[in-house]
Amino acid sequence: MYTRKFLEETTVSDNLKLNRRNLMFGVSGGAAALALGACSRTDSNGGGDGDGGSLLERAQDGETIRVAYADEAPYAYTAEDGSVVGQSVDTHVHILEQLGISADQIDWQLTEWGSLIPGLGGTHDMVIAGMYVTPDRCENVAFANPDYIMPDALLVLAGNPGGYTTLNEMADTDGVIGVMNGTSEQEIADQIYPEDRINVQGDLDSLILELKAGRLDAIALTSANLQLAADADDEIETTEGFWPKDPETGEDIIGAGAAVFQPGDTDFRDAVNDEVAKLLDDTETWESIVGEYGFTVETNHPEGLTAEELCPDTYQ
Amino acid sequence: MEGWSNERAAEVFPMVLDGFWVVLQVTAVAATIAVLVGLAVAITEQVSSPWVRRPLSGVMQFIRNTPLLVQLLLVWAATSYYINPDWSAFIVGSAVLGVHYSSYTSESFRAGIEAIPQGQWEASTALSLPAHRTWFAVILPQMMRRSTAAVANWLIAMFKEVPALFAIGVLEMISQVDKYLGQTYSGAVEGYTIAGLLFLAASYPVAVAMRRLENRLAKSNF
Repeated sequence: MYTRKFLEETTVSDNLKLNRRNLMFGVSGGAAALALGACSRTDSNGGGDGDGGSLLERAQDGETIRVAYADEAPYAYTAEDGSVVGQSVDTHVHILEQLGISADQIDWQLTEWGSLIPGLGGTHDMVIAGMYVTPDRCENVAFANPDYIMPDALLVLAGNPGGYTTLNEMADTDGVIGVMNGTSEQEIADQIYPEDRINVQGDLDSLILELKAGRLDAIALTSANLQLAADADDEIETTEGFWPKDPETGEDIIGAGAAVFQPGDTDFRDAVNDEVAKLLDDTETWESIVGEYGFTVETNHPEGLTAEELCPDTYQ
Repeated sequence: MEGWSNERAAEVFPMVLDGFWVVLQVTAVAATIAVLVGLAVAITEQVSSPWVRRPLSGVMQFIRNTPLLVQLLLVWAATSYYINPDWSAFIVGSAVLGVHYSSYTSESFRAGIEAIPQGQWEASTALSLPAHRTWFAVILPQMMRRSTAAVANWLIAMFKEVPALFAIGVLEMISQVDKYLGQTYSGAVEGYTIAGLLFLAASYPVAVAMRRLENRLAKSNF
């Protein structure tokens, strides 16, 4: 029984991780799950090396904190003028300011995606990269509560001539699904679509060409990527967002991103959680911060979803 | 990045093997096309008038001097608009690869034909052999012995270029490794190593056999 449960969880969490991959073109690196060893530098009394109290206290005293991001639009990336911006960056800069920590105290560390978790406690004190909360990542780090959710969508020709709705439901039609190589959508499609109804390409642009050429009927990917493409092109549109379902368990695979702390810094995390909750309650302010990155209340508001719900057994 | 792990290697191996099977299928189709088209072109260039020969060698020059990748992408895009979007990437990709390499094999066949001493042609004429007998009984058997090694080398080179077909969505070996990378964020060292070894395992025996054949032909009278 235990083994079975473990396997299922692994599948679900792998899928969550995969979802994120959609948005990480050209990023590779070590598995987050292998980060355990690198986190050993964390000590139990708050991750601080000196005697100046916890990271939160030191930051509130005006000390610099080192924050890692992975240069990934629209979550956290370097803008053309060199500043670090994005939905997750702007959200958490706002939150840190509420906690009395100013933006100029933040020392932004551009970090390869695969090193975000391993480097925690070494090269940086926290991660603001819109990282998805997954059960196996929860084993190694302390997640704040999600500040956004990111459903999947289908990209179809304008007017949605085939009437497709979700990745899982489309399997029962005779439409051809387009997926990007290495994504969770591909993994799900491999399980529920016959081989000749899956069109795999290396990037979204190629998939859109295939869609227009009539070689596939819908592209499955995270809604943020598809929306950007649809906004720029009148011939295509996205469907309503949906959560892909694990074909084996039938459970929703939820993509929700949050700030990441060392396991010893839970006081900081809890303080951030309070501010995340306040900000999400004030949808007007929230939308004024993240709206410019294409996030909307209807699609991306977590509505009270917590990190603990996403990691029922591994949350810390 | 982390180093080699046997566990990951075992995990990625079946996926790479799936891709290897696709590579072999593509190679079989493309090699058939490369040999048949190459041979047809070489013979046509020998027997036809300049009005056919010049445009034909122009086309072959063009194919030989433009990148395979560009040809793949162009033909794949054009197929959907001018022919039939339902043609699979496997068929279109194998055909493009085969025709691309026929531009090389035709040159090796041509060299094989031109190396046959003029006396062979003259003797055929003196014996009043009909054209098809001259070709099939006299010229082609001699040409084959001269061209086989060179053509086989082209086919080995072609075999190694099959991964280019991922540009149009054929899930061959390298894209299978990429798929594993995307799913796990690991396994690059293991996956690419295994893919490389499988390529080597398939092409090395052929290369050795060809070298032996070359040596034998060098000692023969032809």
